Amino acid sequence: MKGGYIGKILVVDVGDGSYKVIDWTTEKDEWLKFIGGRGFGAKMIWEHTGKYTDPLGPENILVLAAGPLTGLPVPGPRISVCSLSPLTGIWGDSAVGGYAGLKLKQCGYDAVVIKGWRKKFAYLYVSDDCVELRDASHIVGKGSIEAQEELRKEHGSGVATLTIGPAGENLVLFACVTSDYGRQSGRTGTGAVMGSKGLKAVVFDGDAEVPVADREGLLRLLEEAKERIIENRELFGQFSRYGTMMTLDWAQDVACLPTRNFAESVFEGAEGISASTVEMKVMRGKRGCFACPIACRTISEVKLNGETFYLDGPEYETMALLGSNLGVSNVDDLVAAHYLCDHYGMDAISAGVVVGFAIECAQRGLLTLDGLKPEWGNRDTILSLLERIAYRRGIGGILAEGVRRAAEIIGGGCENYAMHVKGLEQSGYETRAAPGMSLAYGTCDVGAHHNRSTIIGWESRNDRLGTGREKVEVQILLQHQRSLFDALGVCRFPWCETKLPFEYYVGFYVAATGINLSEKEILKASERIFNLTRMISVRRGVSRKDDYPPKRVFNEPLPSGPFKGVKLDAESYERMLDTYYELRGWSRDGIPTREKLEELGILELVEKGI
Amino acid sequence: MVAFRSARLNFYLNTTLFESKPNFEKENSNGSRRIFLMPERCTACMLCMVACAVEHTSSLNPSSARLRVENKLPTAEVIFLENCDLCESLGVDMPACVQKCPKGALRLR
Ligand code: SF4
Ligand code: SF4
Ligand code: SF4
Repeated sequence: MKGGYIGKILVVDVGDGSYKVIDWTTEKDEWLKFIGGRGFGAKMIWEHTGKYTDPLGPENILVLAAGPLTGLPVPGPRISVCSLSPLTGIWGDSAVGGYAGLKLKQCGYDAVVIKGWRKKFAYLYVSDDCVELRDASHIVGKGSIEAQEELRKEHGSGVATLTIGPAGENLVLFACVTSDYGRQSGRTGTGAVMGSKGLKAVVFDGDAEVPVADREGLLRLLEEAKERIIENRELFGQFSRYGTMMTLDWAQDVACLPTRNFAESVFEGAEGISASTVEMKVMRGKRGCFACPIACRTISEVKLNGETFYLDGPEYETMALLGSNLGVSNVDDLVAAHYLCDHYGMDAISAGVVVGFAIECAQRGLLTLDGLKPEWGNRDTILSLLERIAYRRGIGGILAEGVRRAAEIIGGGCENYAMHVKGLEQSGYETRAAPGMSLAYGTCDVGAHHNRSTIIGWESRNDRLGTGREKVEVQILLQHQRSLFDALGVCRFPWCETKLPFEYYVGFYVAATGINLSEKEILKASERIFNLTRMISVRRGVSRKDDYPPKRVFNEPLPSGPFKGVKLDAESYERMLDTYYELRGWSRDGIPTREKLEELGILELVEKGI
Repeated sequence: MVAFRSARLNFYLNTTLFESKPNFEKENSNGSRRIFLMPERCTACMLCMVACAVEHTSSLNPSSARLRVENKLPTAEVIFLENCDLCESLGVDMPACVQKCPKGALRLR
């Protein structure tokens, strides 16, 4: 390989600590088709898991995959953490930022695969010349940030760590993997997979150079890209000051801010948790991931039980799900809840939805909360529920299963209030008055997440309530563009938030790897990955029946706000879904057709695994 | 893109958020050249490390830079290594790390 890629994948069996290094360049065409990152993850999960693999069993694998741009000074390295999700039972991936991607590549691997399982917790130490499982008894039980600090003390502060907290150890199904204080591979419960394997942490301690095909060319492009980003002064200024937090005001404006378990779409207390309030009251600094001139991340101060902690956050999703969605209008309560999620190592989005669900069900008399008051915005209730979930105590034991399973266990009609798609809790957009975004959640490959498409932005600019063909076309393009960033292994914000043209990323890829791909070809690769992740889920039972947004969206008209009385029309949704499948070349039942798979060049691979 | 409403925000756009005192620094032998960091401005993006590596080792490897950035909360730290010569060997007015810092956190005096 000329550059970008290292050409090696490390496979570690945590059962006995044995490992092997795969040189994938011997089958390079088979791998390059999938670009890297989540693409490599999809290929490996397709090949090494099956229809009946238990996501929390030893046969499931956890893939930590960087992409060809990860570790080069392209803004924001990302590691895609891929696995079969214990929360949804299907394909799951979530990307984590900070520095871990850089360090993983500097160890000399494109990806690290964890397989097997062990009883006693250990952590994995990887450097340029060493792969070792080490005893983790000194960090077991510690919060994910404490554990990281402990490891950095031990191995020097130059290392990057991926850790899980108590939630991961206790197999909370939406536990996450944490890096750099508060960068999370949040979604789909990858932390529980890590916990099930008996792996408390991974330490990357590499210093090697990541090869690059055309160094001068890449540097020139990066310099140009930086100019392009900065030249857009207003956008750059806002985004680097507020990061995704500024989405809150917008979501309130266009009425898609999830409020009180998605019952409403505008929140009267939004001012109290808005970006400017965060800035005035709790913000203490800004952070950027490696090589990122934007630095959108906020550092804020948290007061908990009289002590001061620092939080890498909040950002829009946590503000929406732990804020408005729980009726919280006090920024101190918001950051406290966020900090606890990070500390316990669980996905703040899922946690927010689960807690909202619990409060609503309790208010409706379907559930009791171990004596906690079922009130919106009640700090005590929220923080106690988070703790109970992390340690699976009392009602937390049920909630730790995620809203889908919790609703099944509790029964009594409470599935009407369970906001999820395919078992994954819905992220921060309320969609009754946004058919496109409903479709985005319905068809996202991991469940109700916005990482594959946030067409709501386009919708609110162009055609909010329409259900036409154009919207579906834009949706598919977005699904390919956005998920490509997780394959390239870099942050997508410079593109989607500060409007760096997409061509630059094609240019980065070409300069880094020396492989000439056009924009069309690279998007085709992204489509290929999307189809393969779909097949992974199809193999495990997913079809059209799973591609619907939560029931609430169809059943309950919005009670307030500019779209009062609006709900999603079931018939037009069906029509959109038909169009979506047709445009994707999938059957009416949502299964990729032979012709489509053939066209994408993965028919053989798929047939081998069926 | 979002049209942000707050007037406060526009006011803040080009102003400094955090007041800070100079800290982590490096001086040459005769005291004529000094670099220092304003920690509250530093975002730990490590672009200074990349710049140093590019100028002095012709590689993109931040680990070969002559300074280290450590991401700590609430403020990051920058440590100049022994072999940092304040770019005097390059004969440039502006050291690479200072020039490429996107937040103006590294200063030359
Ligand atoms: S835009 Fe934000 S999330 Fe993306 S790389 Fe930069 S700091 Fe990290
Ligand atoms: S002054 Fe020059 S040599 Fe020293 S750290 Fe900065 S770029 Fe490197
Ligand atoms: S380039 Fe500037 S902001 Fe970035 S780490 Fe270096 S000193 Fe800090």
